[in-house]
Amino acid sequence: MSAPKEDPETLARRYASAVYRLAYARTGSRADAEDVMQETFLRLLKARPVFNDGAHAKAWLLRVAANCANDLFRLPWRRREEPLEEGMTAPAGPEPGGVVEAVFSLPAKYRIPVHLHYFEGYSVAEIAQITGRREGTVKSQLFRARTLLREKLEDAHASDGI
Amino acid sequence: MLQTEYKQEMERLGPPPEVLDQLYTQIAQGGTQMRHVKRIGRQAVILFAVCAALLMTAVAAGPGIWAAVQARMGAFAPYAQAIEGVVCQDQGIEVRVVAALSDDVQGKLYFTVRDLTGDRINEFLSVNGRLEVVEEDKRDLPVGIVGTTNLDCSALSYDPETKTALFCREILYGDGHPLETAAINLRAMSTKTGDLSASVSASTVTEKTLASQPIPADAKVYPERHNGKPTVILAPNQTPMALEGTEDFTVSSLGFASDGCLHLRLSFAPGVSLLDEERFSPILANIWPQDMDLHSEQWYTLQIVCADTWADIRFPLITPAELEILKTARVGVYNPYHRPGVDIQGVWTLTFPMEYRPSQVLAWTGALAGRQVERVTLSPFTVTMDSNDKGGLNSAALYAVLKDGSTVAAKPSVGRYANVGALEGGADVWKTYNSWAFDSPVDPDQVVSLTLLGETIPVR
Repeated sequence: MSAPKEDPETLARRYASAVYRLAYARTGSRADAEDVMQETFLRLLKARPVFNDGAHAKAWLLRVAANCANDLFRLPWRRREEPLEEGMTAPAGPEPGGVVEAVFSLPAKYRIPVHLHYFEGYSVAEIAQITGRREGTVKSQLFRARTLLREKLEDAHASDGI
Repeated sequence: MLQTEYKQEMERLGPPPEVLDQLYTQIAQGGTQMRHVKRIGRQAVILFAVCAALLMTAVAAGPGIWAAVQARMGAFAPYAQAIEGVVCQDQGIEVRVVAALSDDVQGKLYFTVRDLTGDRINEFLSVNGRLEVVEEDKRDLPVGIVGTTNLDCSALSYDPETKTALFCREILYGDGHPLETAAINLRAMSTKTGDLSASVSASTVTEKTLASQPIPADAKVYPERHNGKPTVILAPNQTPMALEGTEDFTVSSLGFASDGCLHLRLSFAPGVSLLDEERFSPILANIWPQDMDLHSEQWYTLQIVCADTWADIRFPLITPAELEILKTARVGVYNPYHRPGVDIQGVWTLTFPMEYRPSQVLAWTGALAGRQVERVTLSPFTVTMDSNDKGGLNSAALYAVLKDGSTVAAKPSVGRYANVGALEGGADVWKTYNSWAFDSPVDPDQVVSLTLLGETIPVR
């Protein structure tokens, strides 16, 4: 029996946060993450792909989000700056000296594999499918990212096992 | 642990609830309120607004019809022009223009016909009238492409729930310019003509010779020019089967007759008859062998014998020697035919704004694969070229190379070859127009070059 077709709103309610967090990990900017999230679901509405199951839908959305986030860095007018409205407080950012800040400081190409592995729990093979990279490339990126993170975090904390 | 810390911290850095709520609301509303702050986002919003408009128009026409429209448009759907409020009625029949997809080279117009008062129409509906979409071009060319204004066409699909038939009329502007205000004038509709396009597997054919009969005296014979005349037909009802793609015709017998040739005998449903054309065969048929040269004459040479309720199709060049090939082949039959239905006369006139995406004329001209190219145009849907090509461009594939390195293929479309030198009694001088249609739409701003016959045409 084929999986029921889920409407875009249902998929958004289920996976928008995951899309946002991936975009945030890649861009380091909440404003950019919001734009990537919106663009990702625009493309979902336009393409209307048929998914085998929820895992398939999530992987598709994350792949589109990764591509959109990478595209932002190819545009000449990338960053959107908006003044805070009166009464608004600045949104929370990463903890100073924390892991997320350390991830943000990694070279851009490492951030998505790191997020997909450490937050979403995807395997190397699954990350390779989502990012369109070879498994060997993903392994190298994760290994190098872990080394860099360890160095950065050891500067701020006594290290645990990684 | 790194992973634990990362997860915990990232959990706290999710999207603000108000941002999520806004996204859910926008999606539920069809995205018409989507904001944009960057160029890529702006384009996506425009495209999405078009999709939303199409969706809203679809509500009036019925979801089944709109699934058919969007499926037909495929990747081009976001580029379509949604046309709203263009509707008229006569004789209890409503005609509504719903969408168009066009550049200044070619286009498609979608309209629906709906029975408001009865059950007169069905999937066999055809309409007759005129379409005004193009004005004459001012370019000095001796031979122009005929931009037909004949609107005769058959329904693409029919939704019995809403009693609505969907039509798509393809438009070629040729040398002419698209009109900003187009018009449809319909005068007649009919469900009395079907368009047979059906097939059956030849895998059931065996070497056994089926019972055969002499040709009845009152049967009509349409001999092919070569290969003699048919002398026998298959006896009926020896291998009854359905024909895929129609209920108006069924297979009565399929196999080798006593003349050693393959025959297909068809039975007609009540009220169905073939067109009575003296010069032309009332049915076309061919065999599609797998992995074979489809242009081989052997597979489409045929002779027809027919009467009021049946037709026998003989393939004189197909014998038991081809049995192995027939195991994976299909037999196809085609042609318009008469069927039970109604004629509806009336007057349906609609005018509507027709938008089209203009082509840009490339700065480049020059030599290309032995031709001299005078003009190249590029739109999201098509490429055109004016040159002195004597042949070859009309079958050559073209590719657009984009800034990100990807390519989009374009297939040869309409063209025109005119030897203007010979027309004037002199040496050969060719004035040629070729066009190509992209498999999926392109953003001309993203196209770096075009590749044709291994050579590159710079766009930027």
